[in-house]
Amino acid sequence: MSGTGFDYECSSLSPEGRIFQVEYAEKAVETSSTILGVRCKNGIVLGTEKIVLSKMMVAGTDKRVFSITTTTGSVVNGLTPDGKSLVYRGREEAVQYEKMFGIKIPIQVLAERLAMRTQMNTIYNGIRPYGTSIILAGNDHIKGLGLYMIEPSGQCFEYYGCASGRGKQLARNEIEKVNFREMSVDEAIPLIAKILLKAQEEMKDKKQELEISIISDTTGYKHKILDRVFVDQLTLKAQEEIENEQMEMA
Amino acid sequence: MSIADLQNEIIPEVNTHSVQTDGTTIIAVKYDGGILLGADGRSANNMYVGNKVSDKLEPIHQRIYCQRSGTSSHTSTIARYVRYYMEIQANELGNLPPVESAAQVMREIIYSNKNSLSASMICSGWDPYKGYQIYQVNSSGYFEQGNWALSGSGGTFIWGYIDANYRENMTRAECKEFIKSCIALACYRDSSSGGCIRLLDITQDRVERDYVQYDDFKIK
Repeated sequence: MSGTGFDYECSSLSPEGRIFQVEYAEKAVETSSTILGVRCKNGIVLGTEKIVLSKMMVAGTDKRVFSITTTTGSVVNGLTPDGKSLVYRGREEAVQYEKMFGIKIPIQVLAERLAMRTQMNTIYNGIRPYGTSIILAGNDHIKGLGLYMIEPSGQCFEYYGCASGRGKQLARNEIEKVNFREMSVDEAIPLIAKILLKAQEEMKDKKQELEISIISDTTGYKHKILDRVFVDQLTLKAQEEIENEQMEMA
Repeated sequence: MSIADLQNEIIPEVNTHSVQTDGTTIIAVKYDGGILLGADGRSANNMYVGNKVSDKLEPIHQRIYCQRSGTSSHTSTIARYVRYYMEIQANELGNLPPVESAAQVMREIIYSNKNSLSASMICSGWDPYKGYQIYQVNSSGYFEQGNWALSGSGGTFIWGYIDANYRENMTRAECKEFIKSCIALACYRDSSSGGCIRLLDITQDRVERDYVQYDDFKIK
């Protein structure tokens, strides 16, 4: 991919109508860990996989799943510091909205506002686009449950299931195969662990860690990041299942 | 006697720059299936009645109205700002804005400028999230939800009447009579309330205005 001079700033379009800086940001997302969000019958599940960077790093330090408000969760990939910055912006937006209007920020409004911020970074000279995709899940008394994904270009859509990162295609196919909308959150969690592990197949010789969070009626529609120990057990179980499946195939 | 002295004697001193205030009786009452708002029609510049038929019921959004008491210029400006914010919020939500938010914005404006404002307002209406709501925002920047709200100088005279006669879940006709008599009584005793009675009925499906002339006041 070469921009022939049009790829240094995102303030000008190339003659083919492309903004190379945005495409490079998307590249940063595509080569990073898989994140996904799935809407179930009674809630939403967010998840991500990641490679453990160092044996000496304390387990669970490299966080990708964040709470924006008590009822809004998010998961980021790409350049995680960029993602964190966006999450902080989200928290600011949420408290400002609540101070101004006296109600919790609806998930749709939060997603739109963060998308607008992301888009801002694609039109100015001297700043670069966010190299991150963020999946937002939340519940509010205006619109109910909502699952949104914002991409580096500022594109923001609502989904029943979405995925981003290096295992995007595989994860999307798997999500489409299973009817998650008829499934409860508790039933969906093991399947999602499996999808996440499958999505990073080529990295499987390295140590992997999963992060999963839920918003469901069992948590009172609050965002809950699942316990480390529980997720590690889930990971082991899913790995076994995948190995068994492969044995059968062979 | 000089001409200047003569002029002073003939022309009474009227301060045309005095502040116009809504001395006002305003009342909002929840009834079975809606909200009725009532207000008198007097706006006074000190002792001078500046307007006999002023409209103290201001629209904020399709199903949200506010009632104004205090300095007219302050309250109508606040209402304008609230309208502006609610319009933005409605567009952002893609739906009717919550009444709670209108009250909150109003409260925020009054609270952050309370030293320079004289405004006590009622914000009420319907939204799809919490149904019918009435919020009273007082001049110190505090707001409170209730089944009915009362404000303005005339309100002082009818607290007892309301305590004695208010019932929950009145019918629309009963509620209308109740508000009419409340405001008529307040106008009778309060020097800065009078003129006419303006009524506004807010339900989920429509908003309807009503008007009672001064001659039709009935005081028990």
